[in-house]
Amino acid sequence: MRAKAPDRATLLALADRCEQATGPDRELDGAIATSLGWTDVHGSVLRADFQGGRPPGVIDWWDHVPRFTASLDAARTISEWVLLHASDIGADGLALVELGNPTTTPTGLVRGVGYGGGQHALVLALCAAALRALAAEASAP
Amino acid sequence: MRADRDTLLRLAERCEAATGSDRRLDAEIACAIRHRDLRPAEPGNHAKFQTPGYPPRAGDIWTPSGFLMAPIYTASLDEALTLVPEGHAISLHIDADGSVFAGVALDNGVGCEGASPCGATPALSICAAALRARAATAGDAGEGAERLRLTIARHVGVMRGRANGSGQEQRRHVLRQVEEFLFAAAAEKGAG
Repeated sequence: MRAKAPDRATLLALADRCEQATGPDRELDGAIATSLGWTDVHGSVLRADFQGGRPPGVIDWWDHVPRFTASLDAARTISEWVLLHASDIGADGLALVELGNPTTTPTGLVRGVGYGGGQHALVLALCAAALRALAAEASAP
Repeated sequence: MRADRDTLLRLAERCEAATGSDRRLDAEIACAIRHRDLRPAEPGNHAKFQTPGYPPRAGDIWTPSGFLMAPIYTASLDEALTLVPEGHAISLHIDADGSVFAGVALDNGVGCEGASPCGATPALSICAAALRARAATAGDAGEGAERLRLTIARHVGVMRGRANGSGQEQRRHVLRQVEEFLFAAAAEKGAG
């Protein structure tokens, strides 16, 4: 569970930032984490869903925030929507990722494009798509 | 020294048959691709230095002075992508039924050297396609071209059959894309 429902406009703005990024960006990682419910507490972060039977704890921000913009594995944890298609060259030579909403029929579809190029474009495209998936959920009734 | 084609193809087939991540398979891939002088660890390796009850694990690689841990190729998309040969792009597609296929193509979009139509997970599918791409470029080029043509024909047949079954336009588009890659590669290899 997240501490609060992320704001749709914020999520879409973050998705755009991912598409405009040219590589991994820790500041962007931090902004994504904040939108997912990580809370900055005096230079460290209290993750709202980090309880799991244990008392909530204060953990260091930069050591623990996942490297969403550098790792496909981390980026896949942003949203529970399922990966349908990913290609380094799927969008006219740009990286393209498509995610589907597994709980709707017909399947909802969001896209992310990695304009940055290079080996990280696919990761950034996945981040953008995942954030758009969250935005779609945030705007759902 | 490069891994031989048969070894790579066998590993690709094992990735396609696997139902989930497999640390032993990780170790075998690492030894085929990155550590040709090493081998996956066996329980008796370095026995006199082992802590009792803690033999090498499935993902360990034997070295003369101890063990290395293999990367988690079959569990991690990040690690699986490190197997994709330099200068190649990947295309991954997942069906509604959860089956996955992946293609590894030259990143100029006019060649495909590895395709895997049946991985259980995205990571396994990328591993298989990357290993097939490496196999296609290993060894004798002329013989490789013929083998590649046969492999492509088989894969495209499987994929086309699936596309007809589902009728999803998006999926057919991706299949066409992969087919173009595959046939262009076959033509290119044949001409070479």
